[in-house]
Amino acid sequence: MTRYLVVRLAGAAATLLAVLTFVFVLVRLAGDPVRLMMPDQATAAEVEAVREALGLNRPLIVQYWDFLTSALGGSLGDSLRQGRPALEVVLERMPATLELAFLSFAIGFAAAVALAATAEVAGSKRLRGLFLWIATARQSAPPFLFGIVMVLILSVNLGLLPAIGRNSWLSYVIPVLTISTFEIALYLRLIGSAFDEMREADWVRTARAKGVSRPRLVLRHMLPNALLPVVTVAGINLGVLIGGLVVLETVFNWPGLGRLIIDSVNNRDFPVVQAGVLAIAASFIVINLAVDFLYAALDPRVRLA
Amino acid sequence: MTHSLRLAAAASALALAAGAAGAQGVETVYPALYGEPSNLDPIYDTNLPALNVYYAIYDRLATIDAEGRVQPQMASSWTYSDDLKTWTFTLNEGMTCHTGEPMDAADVVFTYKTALSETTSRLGGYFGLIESVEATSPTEVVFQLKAPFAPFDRQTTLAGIVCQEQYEAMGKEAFGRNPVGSGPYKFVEWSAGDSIATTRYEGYFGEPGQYPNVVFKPVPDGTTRANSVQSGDLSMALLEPSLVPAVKEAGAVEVVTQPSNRVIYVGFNSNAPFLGEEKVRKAIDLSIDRKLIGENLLNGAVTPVAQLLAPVTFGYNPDLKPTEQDLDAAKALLEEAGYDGSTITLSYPTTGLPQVDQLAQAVAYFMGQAGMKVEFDAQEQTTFLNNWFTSKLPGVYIFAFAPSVIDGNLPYHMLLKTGGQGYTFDARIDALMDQQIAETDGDKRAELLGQVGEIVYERTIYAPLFNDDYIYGVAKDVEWTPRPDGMMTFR
Repeated sequence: MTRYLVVRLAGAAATLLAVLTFVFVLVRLAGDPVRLMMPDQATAAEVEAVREALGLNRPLIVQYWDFLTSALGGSLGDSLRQGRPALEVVLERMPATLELAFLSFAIGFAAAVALAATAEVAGSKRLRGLFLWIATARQSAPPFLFGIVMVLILSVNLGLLPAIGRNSWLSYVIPVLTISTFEIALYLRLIGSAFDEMREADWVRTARAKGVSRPRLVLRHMLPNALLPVVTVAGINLGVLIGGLVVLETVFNWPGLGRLIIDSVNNRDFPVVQAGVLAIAASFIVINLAVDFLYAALDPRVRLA
Repeated sequence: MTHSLRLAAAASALALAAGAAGAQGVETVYPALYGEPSNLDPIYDTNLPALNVYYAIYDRLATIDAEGRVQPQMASSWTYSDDLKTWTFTLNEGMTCHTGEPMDAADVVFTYKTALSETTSRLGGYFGLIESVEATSPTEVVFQLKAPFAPFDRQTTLAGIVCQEQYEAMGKEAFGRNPVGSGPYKFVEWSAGDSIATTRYEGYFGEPGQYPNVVFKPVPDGTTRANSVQSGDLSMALLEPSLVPAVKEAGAVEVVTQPSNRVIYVGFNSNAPFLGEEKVRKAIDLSIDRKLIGENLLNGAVTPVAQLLAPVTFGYNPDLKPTEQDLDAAKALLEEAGYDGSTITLSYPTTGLPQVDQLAQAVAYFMGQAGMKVEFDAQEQTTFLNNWFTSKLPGVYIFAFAPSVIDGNLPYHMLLKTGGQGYTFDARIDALMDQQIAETDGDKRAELLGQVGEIVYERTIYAPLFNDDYIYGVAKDVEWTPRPDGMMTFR
């Protein structure tokens, strides 16, 4: 167990280092931030003075080394624009993103489970087909498009809900609706096919022969088993979802990490971009680690070694 | 905005229609910024979204009105020496910081001195020409400049004055998140990524703010802005021209048009093959059908121009008429110049200008009509801007200039003067620029700048295209006047 943890953490650290290096180089290829933040008529000497004060005129390799050593000391540098620690800027925006991701994921997942279980308890292929058809139709519209349409209908035309921001629980409705409904089809299909495999299994037949009621059979016995393979996929998918929010946050003007990263890329605020990408990569890794543990807890046959 | 508030707003709109006076029913307005300020310290963020918030929180020595004229604000009046190097500003009495302490010449001097002494100050970049600044009494500030600078009063409109005591007590980082000024609105709260809330400062020495509360909302995405002004989440928002017809048709908001201080132009790197040739530049200028592009592509939200200054800008020359398309003349000029059909690069920033991809395609199409071979070079806006600043654009390019202080000196200085961002220079222009900057008589100075415009036109150093309109969606219950510089003010 300890060995497993050490190996996983070392792997995670290597991944983070690779991500950081990649971002460090990539964002700097895109050009100089200083000219952009100075007034138009600032002289070349004034621009150069700022560049020097911010340490941006040093060779890239020196900047990289400096960045790595201070990152090991727990500092990701100061935002070039805001002057305060980049990590602080990122952590301020992180809750909005995580909250939206987890809430949408939880609702989408729960809805998929409920729909799959309902169809299975009813034993109706037609009902299951219908659910799957609707969920797939929804999934075929990309979230940003679906989101804009929802805003147009619910906010612009009907005036029922806010179009932007995160100011009251009403602000959550459209974003959560957009993301969670997108998730349903995936889980519905996974749980459904798990049910298919199980239906003819010996233990299910035995249970039925013993006279276990259908709802009890589905909910108590089949569902927990069906969820096992889904957990792994869900972990990866949740990570993908957090990264994908970058686009959706723009649509809903959600004050999360994604919009911060886009703004910072546009401003060439290197430390904030680095800290932001690191935060997303770290949450991806943490979620996957959590999934491994969860899997071991759910399935006694699995050993973490 | 909560949606019960929307109902209230709708009700007050009805009241307005019934003849009730003013916008008294509206408690809070939500103007959209197209970007989020990085901090609210005028010494450290000089980008336009921040400047817009400063216009509410801070006062400046002078201000520029909606017609582009310079007007008193903190200073009731000012004088300058004949050599335009000594500027004396007399301040109003009774000005106070939002904390209640008096605001006087010491705060002004502190703001300018800090900007000039801190290396990383952005504001300092606007004021490199200041030799010294001192307070000769609590109501008098004297600036000594290194060289004559005629539009110095306009330049002071860029410097929001901070309250020294709070600035020093808090330190710049904390102050940048909790700014204290002496403007008609005081800072309340900044919710990162979402809003910057301000409320009317009752102790303001001048005309009180127009609304009890002003909450700025940074909304960078154009479609999102258009949707949220129509849903009532925003009170006023800049609309992208391509979205205007749909917003108009929906009828949920007032659509207001304001000619801007911005000119969209075609520039030439004269070091590239053929572009140093005046005839080729003229051929490009003549090939473009500005009317057609303006009316059909940009929905009429632009006016063709013949110079780099908008009509509202000081130094605009009313005698210059926009070039009319003449393909035959263009072809003849190309032949005279010996153009051999080699490829000309057309660079443009992919965002920041109205429908810029289509605009570039239209320009390339017309150049093609005249017989030129064009290749596109679309650059991400920031990359483009850096290339523009360092004069590294490869050939023909499309860009725009909108001088914040609405004066011709800056655009001409940067685009034309030897040593600036341009590529083609002219000794006559250099001489005129030196002359106008030291000219005390405003009318004469405007005329000198007008002559610069003439030379640019005559030699086609640039091919100015359009002065574009800023088009806003404005909630029907709100009374608000747009400005040519795109700032949203509520004074």
